[in-house]
Amino acid sequence: MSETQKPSSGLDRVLQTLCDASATIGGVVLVAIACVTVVSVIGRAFFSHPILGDVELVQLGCAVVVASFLPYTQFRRANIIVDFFTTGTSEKTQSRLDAFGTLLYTLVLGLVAWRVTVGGIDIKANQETSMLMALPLWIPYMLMVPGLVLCALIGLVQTLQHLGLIAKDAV
Amino acid sequence: MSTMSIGLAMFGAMLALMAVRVPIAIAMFVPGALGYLALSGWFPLLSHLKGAVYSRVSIYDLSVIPLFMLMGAFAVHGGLSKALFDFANALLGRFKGGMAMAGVLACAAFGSISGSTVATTATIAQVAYPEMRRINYSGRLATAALAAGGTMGVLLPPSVTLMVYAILTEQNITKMFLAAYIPALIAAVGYLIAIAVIVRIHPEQAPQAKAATSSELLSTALNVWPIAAIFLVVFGGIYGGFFTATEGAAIGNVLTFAITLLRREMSFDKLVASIRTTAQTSGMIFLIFIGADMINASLALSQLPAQLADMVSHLQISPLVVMAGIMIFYIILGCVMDEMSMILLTVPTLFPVILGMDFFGLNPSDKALWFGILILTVCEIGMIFPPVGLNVYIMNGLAKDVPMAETYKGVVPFLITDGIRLALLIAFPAISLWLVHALT
Repeated sequence: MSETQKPSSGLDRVLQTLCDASATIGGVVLVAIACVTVVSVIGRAFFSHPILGDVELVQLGCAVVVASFLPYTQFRRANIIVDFFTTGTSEKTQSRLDAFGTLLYTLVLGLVAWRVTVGGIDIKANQETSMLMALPLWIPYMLMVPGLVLCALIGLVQTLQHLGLIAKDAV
Repeated sequence: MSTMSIGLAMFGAMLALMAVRVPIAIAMFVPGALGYLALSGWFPLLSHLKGAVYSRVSIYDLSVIPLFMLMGAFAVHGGLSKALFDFANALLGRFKGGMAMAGVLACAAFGSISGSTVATTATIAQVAYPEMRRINYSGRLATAALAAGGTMGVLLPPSVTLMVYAILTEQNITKMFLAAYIPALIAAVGYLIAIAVIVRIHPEQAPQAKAATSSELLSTALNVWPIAAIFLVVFGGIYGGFFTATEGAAIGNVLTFAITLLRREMSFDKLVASIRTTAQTSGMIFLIFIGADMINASLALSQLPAQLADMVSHLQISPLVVMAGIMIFYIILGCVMDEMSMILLTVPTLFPVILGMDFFGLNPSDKALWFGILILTVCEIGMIFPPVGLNVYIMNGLAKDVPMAETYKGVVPFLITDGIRLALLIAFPAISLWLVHALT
């Protein structure tokens, strides 16, 4: 491929580190969700004292887990595409189409990142909180933003790589 | 342009984008967002997006997906697949084709604690396939039996497909799980019969049977206790009403992790690998969730689903014919599209159509459960159906000496049993609903 002849940009390694870190953070939150839930079940079963608002913690945590996992999936190019109709086309055509796909991905995730940020700011201004624990709801909103921004960044880099404008490193 | 034609245009644009390698989730999101723009304008779209993504992903029930996936990933690293396969083989080895049957049974057992068909197929096949080839099973039968057996991962709770359907249609996850067991049992029996028939017609495909001694049977049985324990605690607790599906999944994670630690199979690297597998697969599902949510919000605005439901309910054809048509539509769609996207895209549109029709006088909740099982069945068929059966690809990656065409030939008998089962499930909703009614 033509891309391999270009000098390494080192971008892939930076993105890989960020995605791995993001997936790990998501994993830690997921494990925390599991632990809170188990503690709550044990509390309910043996001390008839569940954690108040464990359901809320799971909900808020779930949003953070999702946003932290998304960049890893895109970096690994694991988002599903249909290649049924394009298997016969040349590598160059496929590369161009993939550039188009990742460009749309970048725009969508950028749009979502922007709107979630605005949503979070609005919610902070309105001081909305969760029902039982009165947790400020802008916090999970803002915790989603880094993951979403990272998605858009990866999409941008991958688009440029598909177009052959910057090098694709083996990572 | 009428709202209806905007809806249709969105649908067309989505299919066009999918055909040119745009990620499925994005191919749903972009026409959805543009449709929303055309139907209600820029500001409503922007304000919709402020809250929509967060509310789509901050759902209590949604947490079962990554939790059960993590549990499955732990189980993969726990070295449990060999114990399962050895036990199943000791149990079924006395029959001709017994090792292939054992592969199916081991898949079913692993699938009953793992939500992923990929994990189920790959984990069991890694142990079973070399063993089968060693004693001279044909490549065709070995790969086909394991590809088909691996679909038990979809059919049995905690199947991701099933959870996605339940979340999407707001069904009780516990009931949804219960509805899946008897159909999955029929599937397993069907596969065992298929193997028995294959080796009767083509005796050269499998070696002579070799019965296990009772001491072998006992010693292998003792090794499967971890799977049995996880299953009993997690699902016993869920079905017994002691805890919710999320709580069951959380407990299952702690339990599975503890067992892999006890068996000295867990390491820091494997923990990281488990988390990354979970991240990759759930990230993929969640992005489709977000994309499907966007297009479905716009489709709802265009009133396309409501009008479709209205139209179909006024058609003078039997509801069962409509249902059969929908199932055929799914099998065709499954040839070009992955099963998860198929459900997320079509269920919000087709679900109201189904609810609006009368099937055997079922109440809405029963109808939803029954339809879920039917969808699950066609998704499962899609996993081994040409030209893109996911499980056939997995087997092909593992068994490089067997051409894919051989495996596709091999799965035909299994597909026949699938077809028969699908017909039975459509004709007799009680197969899916009996256990739900008996236990809740």
